[in-house]
Amino acid sequence: MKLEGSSGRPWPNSAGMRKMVAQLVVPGSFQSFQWNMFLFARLQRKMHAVRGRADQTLDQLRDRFGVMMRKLSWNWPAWVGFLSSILAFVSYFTVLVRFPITRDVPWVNFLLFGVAALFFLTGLNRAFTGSGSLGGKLVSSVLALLGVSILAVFCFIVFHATRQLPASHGAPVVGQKAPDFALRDTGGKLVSLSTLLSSPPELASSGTAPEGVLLIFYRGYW
Amino acid sequence: MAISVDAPEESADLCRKAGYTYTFLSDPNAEVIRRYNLLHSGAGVDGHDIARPAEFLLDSSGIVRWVNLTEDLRVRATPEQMLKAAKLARK
Repeated sequence: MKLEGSSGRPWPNSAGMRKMVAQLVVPGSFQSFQWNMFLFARLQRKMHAVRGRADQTLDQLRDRFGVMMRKLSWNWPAWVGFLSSILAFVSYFTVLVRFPITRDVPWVNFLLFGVAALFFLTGLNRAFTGSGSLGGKLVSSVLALLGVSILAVFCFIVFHATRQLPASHGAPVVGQKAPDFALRDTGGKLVSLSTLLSSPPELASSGTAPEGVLLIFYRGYW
Repeated sequence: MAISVDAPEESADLCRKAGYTYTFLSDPNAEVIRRYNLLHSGAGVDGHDIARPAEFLLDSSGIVRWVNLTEDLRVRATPEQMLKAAKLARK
C-alpha cells in the first residue's frame, strides 16, 4: 500500500505513528479489516498533519533565510568597494611609500582603486536593477561617491600637493664649486664642508682621503 | 652627509633609530640652505622655513659633479642612482 504523498517526501517518522502501525492486525475477518481501515485513515490524517507542519516550518525557514541573505547581500560589493578604496589610500602612506618601486609611481594603489571601481559598479548594478530597495540605492550611491572622493584626494596629493616645491634656480649646478659652510653635527661639534672634503670623521681611523662628498638636503622632522 | 633644520639631538635620534653612520649637520636657521638656494619657505611645522629635498655629489675639490633637484617630494634619488653617479664621477 502506498502511504507516501504526492510530494514524494519520505514517510514522516514519529513515535505516535509507529504505535499506530504496531496496532495493525493481520486481516482475517471483516472486523479486523474495518479496524485496519480505521487505523489507516487515522494514520493518513496524522501523516498529513505532521507533513503539513514540517512543510510550513521549512517554508518559514526558507523565507527567513532568503530575507537574511537579501539583507546581507544587497550591496556587499559596494561595501567591499568602499573598503578597497580606503585600503588603496592608506596603504600608500603607511607601507608602499617606503619602497621606491611602489612610491615613485603609485601603481599598486591605482590597481586597488581599479578593483574598488569594479566592486562599486557591481554594487550599483545590483542596487539599481530589478527590485532594489530605495535604501540599497542610497547606500550604494553614497559609498561609491565616498570612494570617488577618496580617489580624488589621493590624486590631489600625489599629482599636486607633493609637487609644490620651489624651482631653486640659483642652486649650485654641475661644474660649479659648492659654497663652503660650517654647521654643528649630532655631537654638537662644528663641522665644515672643507673638513668633510679633506679629512671627514668617517675616515679618521683609516687615514685615507675622501674621493668626494655626497651632500643631501632633506626636509627634516624625522 | 645630510643637512636639515633639525636640531643636533633630533638628528642624533634619527641616526640611532635608522642606524645611519654618516655625518648629519644641523642648520636650524636654514642659513646654509638659503645660501644653496634650496629654501622651501613656510613648508615646515608652524610655517618654519625648511630645505627642499636636494642631493649633490661633490668631488674632492668641492666641485659639483651630479645634482638631483626633485620636482616631487615623494620621489627622491635612490641609493642606486647615487652610487651610479659616484661611479661616473670617478672616471
